[in-house]
Amino acid sequence: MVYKIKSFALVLLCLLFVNTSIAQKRISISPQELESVLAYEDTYPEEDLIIYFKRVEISFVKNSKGVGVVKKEQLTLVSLTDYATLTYPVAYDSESSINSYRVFDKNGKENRTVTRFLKDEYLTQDDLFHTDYRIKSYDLTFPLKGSAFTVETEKEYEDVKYFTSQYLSTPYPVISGEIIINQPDWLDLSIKEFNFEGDQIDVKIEAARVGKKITYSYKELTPEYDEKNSLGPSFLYPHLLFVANSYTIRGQQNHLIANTADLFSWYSSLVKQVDQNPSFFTEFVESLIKDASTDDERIEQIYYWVQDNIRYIAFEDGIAGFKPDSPKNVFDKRYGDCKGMAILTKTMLKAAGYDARLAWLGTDRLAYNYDIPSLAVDNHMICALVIDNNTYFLDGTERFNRFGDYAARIANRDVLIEDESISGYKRLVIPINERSTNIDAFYYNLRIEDERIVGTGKRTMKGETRASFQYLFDATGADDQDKLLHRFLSNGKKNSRVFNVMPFNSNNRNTDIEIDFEYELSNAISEFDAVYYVDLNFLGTLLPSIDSKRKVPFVFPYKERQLVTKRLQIPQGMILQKVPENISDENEILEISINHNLVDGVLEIVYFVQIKNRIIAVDDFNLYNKTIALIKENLDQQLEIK
Amino acid sequence: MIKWSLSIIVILLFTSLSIAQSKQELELQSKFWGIPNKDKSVTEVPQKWANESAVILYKEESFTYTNNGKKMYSPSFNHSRVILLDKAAVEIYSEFKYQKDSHERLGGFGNYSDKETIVGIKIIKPDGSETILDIENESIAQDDEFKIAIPGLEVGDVLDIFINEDDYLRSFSGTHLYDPVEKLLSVSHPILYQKLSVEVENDYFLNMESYNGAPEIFEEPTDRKATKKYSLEVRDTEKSEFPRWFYPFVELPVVKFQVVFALKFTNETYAGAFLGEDEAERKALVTMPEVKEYFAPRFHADSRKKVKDVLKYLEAEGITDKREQMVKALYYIRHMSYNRFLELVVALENLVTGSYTMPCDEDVVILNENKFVTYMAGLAKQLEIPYDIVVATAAYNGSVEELLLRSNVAYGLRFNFEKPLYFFELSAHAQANYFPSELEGTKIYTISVKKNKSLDEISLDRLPITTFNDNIQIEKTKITLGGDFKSIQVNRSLSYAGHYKIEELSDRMFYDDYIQAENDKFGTKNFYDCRKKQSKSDKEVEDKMKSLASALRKRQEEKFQNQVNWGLEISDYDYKVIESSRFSNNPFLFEETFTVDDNLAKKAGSNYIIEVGRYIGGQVQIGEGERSRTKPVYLNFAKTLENYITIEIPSGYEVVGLDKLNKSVVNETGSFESSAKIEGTSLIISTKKIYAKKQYTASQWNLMTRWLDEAYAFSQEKIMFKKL
Repeated sequence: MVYKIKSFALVLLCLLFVNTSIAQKRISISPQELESVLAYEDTYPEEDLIIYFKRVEISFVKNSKGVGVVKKEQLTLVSLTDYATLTYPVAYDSESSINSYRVFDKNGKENRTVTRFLKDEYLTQDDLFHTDYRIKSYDLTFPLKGSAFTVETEKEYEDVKYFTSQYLSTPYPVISGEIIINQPDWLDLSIKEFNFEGDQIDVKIEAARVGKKITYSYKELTPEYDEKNSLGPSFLYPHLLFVANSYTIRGQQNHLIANTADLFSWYSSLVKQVDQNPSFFTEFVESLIKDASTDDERIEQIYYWVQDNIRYIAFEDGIAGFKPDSPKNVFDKRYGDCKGMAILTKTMLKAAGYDARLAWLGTDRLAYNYDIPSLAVDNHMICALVIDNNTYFLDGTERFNRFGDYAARIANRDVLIEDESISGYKRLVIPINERSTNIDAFYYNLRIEDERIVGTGKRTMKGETRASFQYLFDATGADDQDKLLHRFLSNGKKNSRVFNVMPFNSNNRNTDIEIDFEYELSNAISEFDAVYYVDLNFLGTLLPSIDSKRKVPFVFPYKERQLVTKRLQIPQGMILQKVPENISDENEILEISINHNLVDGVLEIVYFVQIKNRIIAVDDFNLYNKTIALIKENLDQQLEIK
Repeated sequence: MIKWSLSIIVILLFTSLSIAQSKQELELQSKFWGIPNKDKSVTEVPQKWANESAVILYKEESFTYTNNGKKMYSPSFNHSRVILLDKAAVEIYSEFKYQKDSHERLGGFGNYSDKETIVGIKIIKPDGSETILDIENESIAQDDEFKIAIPGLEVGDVLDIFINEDDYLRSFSGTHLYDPVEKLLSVSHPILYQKLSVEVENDYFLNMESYNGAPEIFEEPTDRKATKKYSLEVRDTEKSEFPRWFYPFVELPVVKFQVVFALKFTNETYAGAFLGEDEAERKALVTMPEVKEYFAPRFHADSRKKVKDVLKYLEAEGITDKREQMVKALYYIRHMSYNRFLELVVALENLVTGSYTMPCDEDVVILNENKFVTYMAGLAKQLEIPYDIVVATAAYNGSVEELLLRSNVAYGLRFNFEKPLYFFELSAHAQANYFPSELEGTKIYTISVKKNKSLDEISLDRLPITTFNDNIQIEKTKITLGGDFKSIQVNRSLSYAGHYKIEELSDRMFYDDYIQAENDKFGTKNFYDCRKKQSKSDKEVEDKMKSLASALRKRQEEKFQNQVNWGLEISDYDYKVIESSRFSNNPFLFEETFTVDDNLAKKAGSNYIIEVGRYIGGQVQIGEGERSRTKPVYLNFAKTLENYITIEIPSGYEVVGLDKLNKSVVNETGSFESSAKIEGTSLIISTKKIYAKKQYTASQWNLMTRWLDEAYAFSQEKIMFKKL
């Protein structure tokens, strides 16, 4: 939703490669080598293609901007299946260029049939209005099992600060690979290793003609998986992060971005170029807060105005990926990206007399914090507000977020905020939201009528559950909101009918959303041998089971507590044959309970489930799925009424 | 110095271009926004639309066609004023895209087309203040398009947008058919006022008419002597709603038009469209004599020489019955002039072979729509079979008596046996006894052919219609329950007849299977092995084709697995074509086996409740909102769907609740009937659902919903396996 330009490198890694290359010796592949590659078919039965060999060579060059980077990449793709196609993309932007992009057959001959048709297009993404990221690509057809192509690319960055990372993995398995870093003696470079555990990765450092040659070599690397509900790739796949600290030219040391202060200083220099004069907003802000009597009310008026009136539209073009638009522009245009919304919130709060500041952070998609001074560590900007030495965070991109609540994607994240100290910044951690738990609660009062179940229902939503519903409702056209509501309240179930939905305030952030409605459930009662078998599990388990074949951890958007209370009036003169068993269980991932109580002819079933940990590790899928199966089995039990 | 001069020229050039552009922009702004009229100035939303997300207050579309003998000009514009009534509307309308100017070469001979687009955007605030967007500054170029994020947009604003396109076309053929336009007058938002105009100059022919209750088209005066302008104005158009089983172009107000440029009389003849008597005069209907006049010269029967191969084949096969001759000829031609080349098409599409690859035969005949009719006419003539040419239009286009556009015409042949035979098209699985279902029951023109003479008389007739006794789908399902009642093993035999057969053959037959079978039958060869000796490169192509076929077959199997419409997860899927019956009128037989791991069996004490109704597949559920209906119901064809389910009852259990599976609703519109019985250790369930007709009146909808509801209710039924 709010990533700056550099984060697209990571996004692209998910899609395919962001790599580049060189003419190297191992372009051709022999029949013996091919045979050894095809032996991997059993190891990777789901993969169409495999990378026989991948080589990346990174070199640093002095140029007019200081230090540049040339990255050469060569990889050989082999088909493991009868017929496969691949559009092989190479990405670049205003800070980088593709010097060469060639394709070779398996006998080492350049394939000009393929390279006649180069596509060169902008990257398009739903949540991005415009980015300067472009993709060059060739369509590769692998007509036979064992068909192979070698792709060579060379990519150049004029400014080393935009060259942040190199992944070892690719979307396909890599049989063997190496990354060679030619570090000249004039460059002070730090290389950070991430997610190396569990893979066989060797590092060798050798003296070279100028400086040293660092070689990372690895074998049989599992592919990157494109799965929904996943952590960002920086958490999952082995990669290197590069921090160029300084370089020496003619004996003179030149400072680059070597520490957090340097990083902030560069960000700050960009912000200083932006006109942030709050006086433009004084009159408007005064009219906005004129009826507010407390700080909280005044802040809410401003914060919610930004959320409600500034549309999120992201332009990620060159320096605009890092430098906010002016608050006046954002205000006039009524749209902006995260930086635009943050700087407008800050300036409007300043106009109201508050100590508001800009704050940089990486959302929970990024595995880094500000210990690393790199453009790769953040992808978001929000506004920080200091009142009585307390710092609050305001994220204008979070529609319907309540002042003081923090969305899961920014909570507990390292944040860099403007400060009056000498360094000009300070580092804080955004608190985890303890005040308002995310709750989705259903309450039904039901009775049996003509082989149907009828009654009333209420759905209550708190925290992010509330905000995400309000966002969905608000984004739906007035003429379709009714349909949405009925679908939402019946949980999409075909045999459920929701009607007489009571009006509710869909814009209010300061109270929970409560929706009352009438409810009818058909096809839930079966009569066999004069016994009613009632299936009351019309909402299901409310949690998905996880595909046991999934290879990467599963991530919930936020921790949530769900509570379903169903009260069923047993018809007069009939009795419930047996009250189903109660169950409860608690493990590291979930806490669950299902309780049944029969009081005065009313059966009350209370199902409670709490997601305790947003991230479910692959090793825990079995435990999680078992818990879900346990819930399902209990909820599926038919109530026997005679 | 030279450098300097050059850059000055370049700067001047750019500056003047930019000024020219802005001058043109200003002119257009003045054209669209300068002279307010009553309809253009409305900002109030009628009360009845107050709860809409957005309302189109004004919409004007205009298309003009002129030429100077060398270039054809077709400028057009779309001018809309939309009031945004909620945030969702602001969100939708705030991002705007349009295509960049283009210059496109059209074939050879220096033909080309140019397109220039100028956009104007104005925001009108509720207080009446107006902001005109600086398009050049606000737009971003992205590949072939410009994008604009419209600034300052809020709920309550009126967004006023014009898109003006200047199209030029240069074609030395002297003929150009512009794409036909068929437009519903309603869209996803209500429209307060709309106008559509088409202006044509001499040398242009215009076919244009409004239908289904749309206002009449009227002629308006124009500034130029040589042009005529035809318009349509509509007020208060509700937003479009599309009920289930519905033909919008038959029921909703619609306007259709097509413009043809034809410079000389000879070009008019070859224009490939129904042209009016006079240039620039609107033609509102293509009459029966005109249909004859157009098609008669186009459908001369082919000569004996052209059809000699088929005649030879029929003779060799010893077929003498006239009807059988035509049927067998169709299947022969289906292979020789169509299917035989499909493998090459697959190869080219999947880049297995280069575009230079050709079939071995030098005199390849691929029968397209036109050639198919003349070819079969030629054959009929040689076999002395009386026939007529048939001119029809699909039911969703409206009646042939209201024909306007050449592109809406389907044509074929009627062979006048005692029970006539109709051939309309050549397709991979064309069946002699069935023609496309969308033509069934429609009115047609038939152009009769007198023996050895040319096309003679034209008359109005109607195509026959298949019944629910022709189009039959039968599913025989055998289910074995697993020990826990959750997993089940399924074996299904599927039988498809009539239109179902043609649909399912297209869906389920794998190209490699039926092409190889036809090659064997007719003695033809694969394109990569048709020479005396197969070359090394052809062998490579053969290997690649086999590899591709294997991959595509795998994909198809996955598709079949997903097509099992039970709402349950399927695994271990396998299938077999039992009898394709591609050369006969017999049903297409198909068998599949699969496993369901979670059969949704619910435990009730020591008993199990199973949703047995699912096994007949998903049934239509009529929602609350569609109970009342004002428009007719259009199905693809009348049909019967039968299900026979056999479930082996696990020992130690008995089945209860069978009475719920006995259902019966029968009326004139169709029926749903089901029954269940125990035979030995098996539970046998049968269902039959009949859609008695292809088309129903709105008042019959109520009767239809009765058996549709009953079938849905069946699909929700459960039975209990009770522990003994």
